[in-house]
Amino acid sequence: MYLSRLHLANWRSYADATFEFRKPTERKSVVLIGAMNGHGKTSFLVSLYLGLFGRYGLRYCEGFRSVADGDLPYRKAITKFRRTTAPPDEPTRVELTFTPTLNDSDEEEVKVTRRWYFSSSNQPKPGDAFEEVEIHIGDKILRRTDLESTQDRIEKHLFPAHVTPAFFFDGDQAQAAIESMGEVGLKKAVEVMFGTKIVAELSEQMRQYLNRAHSNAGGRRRTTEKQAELNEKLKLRDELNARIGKLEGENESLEKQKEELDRERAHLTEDLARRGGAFAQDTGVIQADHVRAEREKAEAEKAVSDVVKVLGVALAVSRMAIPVKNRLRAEELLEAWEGLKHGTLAKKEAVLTVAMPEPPESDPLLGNLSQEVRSKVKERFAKALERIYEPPDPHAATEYLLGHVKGEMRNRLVQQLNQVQAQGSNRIRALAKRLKEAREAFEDTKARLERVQNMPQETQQLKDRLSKFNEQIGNALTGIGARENEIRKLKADLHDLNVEIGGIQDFLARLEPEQKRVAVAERINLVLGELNDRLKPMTSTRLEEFVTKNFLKIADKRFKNGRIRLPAGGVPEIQFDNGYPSALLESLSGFEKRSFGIAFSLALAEITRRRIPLVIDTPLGNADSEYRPRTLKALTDFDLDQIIILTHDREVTADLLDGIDGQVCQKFLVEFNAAEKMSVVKPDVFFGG
Amino acid sequence: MKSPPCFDDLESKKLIQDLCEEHRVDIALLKDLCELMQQHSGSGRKEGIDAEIAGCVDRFLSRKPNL
Repeated sequence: MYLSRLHLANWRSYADATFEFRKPTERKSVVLIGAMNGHGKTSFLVSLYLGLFGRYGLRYCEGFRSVADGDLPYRKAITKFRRTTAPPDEPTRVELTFTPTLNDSDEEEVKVTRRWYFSSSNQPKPGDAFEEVEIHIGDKILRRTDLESTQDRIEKHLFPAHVTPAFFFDGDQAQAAIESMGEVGLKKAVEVMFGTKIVAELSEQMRQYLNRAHSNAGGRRRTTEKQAELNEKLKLRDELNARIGKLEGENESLEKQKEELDRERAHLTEDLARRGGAFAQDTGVIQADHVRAEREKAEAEKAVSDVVKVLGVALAVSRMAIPVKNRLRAEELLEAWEGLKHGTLAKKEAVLTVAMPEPPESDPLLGNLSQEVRSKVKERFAKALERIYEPPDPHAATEYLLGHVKGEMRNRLVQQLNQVQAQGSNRIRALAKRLKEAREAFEDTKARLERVQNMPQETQQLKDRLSKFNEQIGNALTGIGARENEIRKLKADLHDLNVEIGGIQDFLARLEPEQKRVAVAERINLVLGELNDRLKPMTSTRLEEFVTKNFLKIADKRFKNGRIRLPAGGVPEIQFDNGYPSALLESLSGFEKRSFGIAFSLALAEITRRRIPLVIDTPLGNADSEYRPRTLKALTDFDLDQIIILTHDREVTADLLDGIDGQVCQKFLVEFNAAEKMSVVKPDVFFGG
Repeated sequence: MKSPPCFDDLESKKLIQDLCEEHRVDIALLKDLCELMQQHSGSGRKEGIDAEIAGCVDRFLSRKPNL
């Protein structure tokens, strides 16, 4: 919520003035309203209290706190706030409009217009004619002179009157608050923060209600005794149910464990069965394979042996075939050479006769040579003829070892040797291959057999694990059984108890409805009593934390290690965790006290978690140059929808303004026009133009 | 009318819940009664409050018929 409009008519120095506030944003939530002393800052602040809450707001206004509640003091106070030169026929009027922001977009706009009427002699009109309140909630309008019901409406749609001091306050007020802090201040804080005032009032109201109700319900004692007995039985039933629930929970957990174990066991059993099957199957098959392989190996070896025996000669011949064939070839070459030599020698003379005819006279070519030369030439021809067969083929034998085999016979023998050689080696090769394969198969089956023979060890391990699972499952079943027995017994007890409870409830049911209400009211009263006792210390601790946090943001370094304490019945003090002696806050300097007051108000505003505008009149007061920026920063950084700071020219100076300018949404300057004797609101203007 | 802040604060809410549980009332009844008191608070007007308290208790009893 933010204050979107404030209209003041005949209100102190404001004759007819309007503040139109822009919608703040998350980054720009600060509104600065500048006014010199006496120009209308405090009148602005007071208009919020009285405009919203009328006589219920008066107790929070500076200078009026000690004024007794009541109609007459209120009328006198309003007369003081009425503009002295107001025309008698014009009422004094305060009109406030609160508009939701994104943070509370489900709320509706609330406009409160409060008018106070005066007589021609400017005296408050008598009775109900004095004051009128008009409330707009969204589109609905309520105009009431029944101020109490309007108060309810305003509090319902905005906030309770008693939280306003945490949000609308002036610096002096904050400074003075410390002096009245102590027990009273804390109590008020607790009331504001946690609604304990309501709890206390309700407690008292319930006590009165019970007194009246008991007397109407035919005697407190009988109802109370039966109710106490019922309470006792119900408590016992709760305990039994809790115990049963616990046991059932444990059993459920055990069942899950057992299921898990069962699953594991099933897997294991399956694995074991599979392995057992595999073992049995593998062993049989592999052993058969192994026997077969062994037999095959033996057969192959025998076959090789037989073949060697059968083909012994052939094999021997086969083995000798190559050298024999080589020998036959060499002797064939020798035979051929000898044939060539004999042939050449046989034709030698005839050749020589052709070459050198005899007698020399018949030789026209060489006939004229001398006998000696002719003999030499003839010898040369003879030598030349020897070259036909000399030298013999190097592969030719030099003699005949197999001289009995010649010619065609030799060719047949070579052919036979080739046949025997081919026949024997093929068979032997096939048998050798068979033997090799049989040996490999034998080795393979032997290895497989050894592997399978190791399996029983793994199977034993599986059996051991299975045994453990069975033991665990057994334990789980025992636990489940024990619990089920206990649950059965407890349920039997519960049944008996329910019968007794039913009896008491029947008895109570026969009582008047008022007595049942009384029983509930008694219990509520107990809750409220304990709540009252226990909320206060809890609240006190929380408040100390929040006040300390806000105070340390403003205070100087001396308080860095400080912690604010708000002792019940005593004045607030600051304690240090570095051994420094603690100090009473009332002994601090003026602005230090004001810092505490501001911190206290901010803490309350923060803890109440209400999205209400924060309005502070002259927060900086007599702060020095170091305190000013810190205080201003603490205020402007505060997480609220709208922060309105009322200030004079010496407070938020130009340099301070520079520091917060980015957060400022809007500025106003209020100036008192001496000629017209009224305060004039100038939007978007501030000190120094 | 909103409930008092102690019903929203985590720590105090837990305390209230525990106390309500201990004394077998529900937090809604306590809230109803607190809101009732807030409506009557400060104004001094308490006429008819007993009937309103009885109404709150009756609503509680209709929510918890076994109590």
